[in-house]
Amino acid sequence: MRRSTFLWCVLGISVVIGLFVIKHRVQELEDRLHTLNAEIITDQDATQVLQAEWSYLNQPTRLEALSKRLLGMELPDAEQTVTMEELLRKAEPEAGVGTDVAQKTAKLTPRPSKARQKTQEGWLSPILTKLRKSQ
Amino acid sequence: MIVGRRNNPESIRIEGDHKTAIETGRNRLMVAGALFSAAFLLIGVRVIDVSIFRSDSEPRYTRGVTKHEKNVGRADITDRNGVLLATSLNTASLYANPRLVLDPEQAAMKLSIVLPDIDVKAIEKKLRSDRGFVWLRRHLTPRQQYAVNRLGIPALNFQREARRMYPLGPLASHVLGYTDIDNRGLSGVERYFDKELRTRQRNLSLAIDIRAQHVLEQELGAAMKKFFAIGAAGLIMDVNTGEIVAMSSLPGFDPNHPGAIAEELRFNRTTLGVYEMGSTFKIFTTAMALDAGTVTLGGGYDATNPIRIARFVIRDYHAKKRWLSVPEIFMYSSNIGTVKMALDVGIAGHRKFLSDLGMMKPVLIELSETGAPLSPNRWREINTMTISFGHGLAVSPLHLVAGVSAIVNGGIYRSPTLIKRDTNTPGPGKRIISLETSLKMRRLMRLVVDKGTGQKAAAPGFLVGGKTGTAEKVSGRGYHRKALISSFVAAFPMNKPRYVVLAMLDEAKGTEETFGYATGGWVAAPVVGAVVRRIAPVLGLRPVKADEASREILAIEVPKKSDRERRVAAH
Repeated sequence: MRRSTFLWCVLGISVVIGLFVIKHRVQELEDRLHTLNAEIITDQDATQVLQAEWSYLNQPTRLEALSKRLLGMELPDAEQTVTMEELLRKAEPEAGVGTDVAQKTAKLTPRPSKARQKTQEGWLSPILTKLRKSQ
Repeated sequence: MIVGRRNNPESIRIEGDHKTAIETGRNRLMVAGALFSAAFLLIGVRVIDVSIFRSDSEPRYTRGVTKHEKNVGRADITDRNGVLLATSLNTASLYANPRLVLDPEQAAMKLSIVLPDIDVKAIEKKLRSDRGFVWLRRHLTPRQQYAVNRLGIPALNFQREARRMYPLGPLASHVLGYTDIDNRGLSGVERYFDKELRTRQRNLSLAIDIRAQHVLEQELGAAMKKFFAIGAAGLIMDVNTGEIVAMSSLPGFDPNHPGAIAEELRFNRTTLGVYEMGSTFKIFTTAMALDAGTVTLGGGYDATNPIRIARFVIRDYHAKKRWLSVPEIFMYSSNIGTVKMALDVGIAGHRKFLSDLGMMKPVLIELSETGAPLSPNRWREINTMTISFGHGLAVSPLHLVAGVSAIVNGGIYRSPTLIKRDTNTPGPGKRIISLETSLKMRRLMRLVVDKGTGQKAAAPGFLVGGKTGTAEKVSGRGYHRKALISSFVAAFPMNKPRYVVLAMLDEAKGTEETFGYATGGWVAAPVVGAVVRRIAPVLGLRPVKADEASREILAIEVPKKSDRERRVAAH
């Protein structure tokens, strides 16, 4: 009988302690939930403000004035719009000077990586030459 | 005693004084014990009561934050590419409970120190009132909120409120509209979609492309200034989907300050204003005649003499005084030729055609500000004659653009919309003219820009085609000679039209540069040309390089002189 009393006592005390600990943890979690909710709202407000500001800073009028003043941009005319195909066609004669043999061998022995490299150089070269000229 | 104890230890008997002393002690112990246990019981009961039954009585937080609070204010409005056009920002608004104010005068004084622009007397009066709630100041800045908080006046409190913001200012103001201080939409899509925006179902994506909108407003504004016009209107519409890509009515307003908007600035010229459009209506007359088969592209009419009917004389502005072929009538904008063309189709046919194009009732669009056209009550011959060249029937610029879209897109009328379409497939439409007629009209409109009255609208590579229009404004019972509505309506690229562009100037005045002319070809056509040049690359259109080849596709054979002589001889 004494043993069982002792057991009950131990059980009772541990339940009390357990309850106490759990209650504390629940309170902590509640606190955390509240802070997080509050933070979410603050952050949402902040993103909203930032989005509005981003839109405000991106006003077409402002961008236009800035790009004209700082980047020296102008309206493009029809001549300046070129498709990739037209670019490639223009690039061919320039790239084709002295690389005849190389191109032929490339055709004979299909090495895709090198062939791709060639074409890449092909369409890049006019841009590169233009860049060099402007420098 | 010793014997007794040994024999029976239980039955110890204490007699005399000792006994009474022990009895007293025991009784006292009992009473004390009972008192203590009663006290403990009381505490225990109270503990249970407090911890279990009254857990709600005391909040653990001064101010609870719930999920619902996150969604205050109206939903955002964006353009077709997701650029933010209207949003709600959360601010704090100051209110008071006057019943809790101890000293209204002092409170008002203190408030006026941190909020210098308030009216002290009015605030004091509010604080003296016998209500439980008064607004003191809406939408404080965080700094002001902090300052008010620091005053420590107990009756004051803050309410989180949303404030409508339009980051792009006056851009697209007539499309967006504005809201009042309680976030109710008062005009534009803010009003039309008020309920949806308020319940925050989802953000609203408009069909507007803000880049095109900007270009249109800028060019229109520049022309307005240059020609001293009192107003301007512009529209860009996708002919295949019916989406309005840009809609501009000038002068505009800043929706961020709804209180400061003058009444006349709120007027939306593109949808609410109805005007007699002038020669742009010849597009409809010509398309109708070609579609009805009463005339072919090779045919024509004698435009030598002005037409006299009743007390009116119909004459040509660019008079050629000879027989004109249909392309020439269109190109030189001949009123005489167009009237004859319309009369051949007949009054009933003319009326039905325009009614099919939606010219008799307000356009269906997502705006509350739509104007009903002014059409004649009884449609007589004289009405058909004047309406054929755009007088006697007043419609909104949106009517015109929607009609022209139907003429150039292959002949199908689609109701214009301000909402972005989710799919690329065009919605159902109503066939107005045949595809062949539409193709012919494209050529005719191209001809006007190539060789006719609209040459200033040319944009190299983008094959603009259009029609000029100039109309005198109605004043009283007659027309005002100097007050003009000058417009130009165009479509591009003409080989496969994608967009219709309209520019309209209200009461433009001629300048030295235009030799005093304020007609559509001089003041509105350059606007369209500039707009197309700037927006076409932005909208993903490639300029056509081989101009000769494309010109040939759209070229039209203007009947020769010998042809004409033969015709005249035959008549």
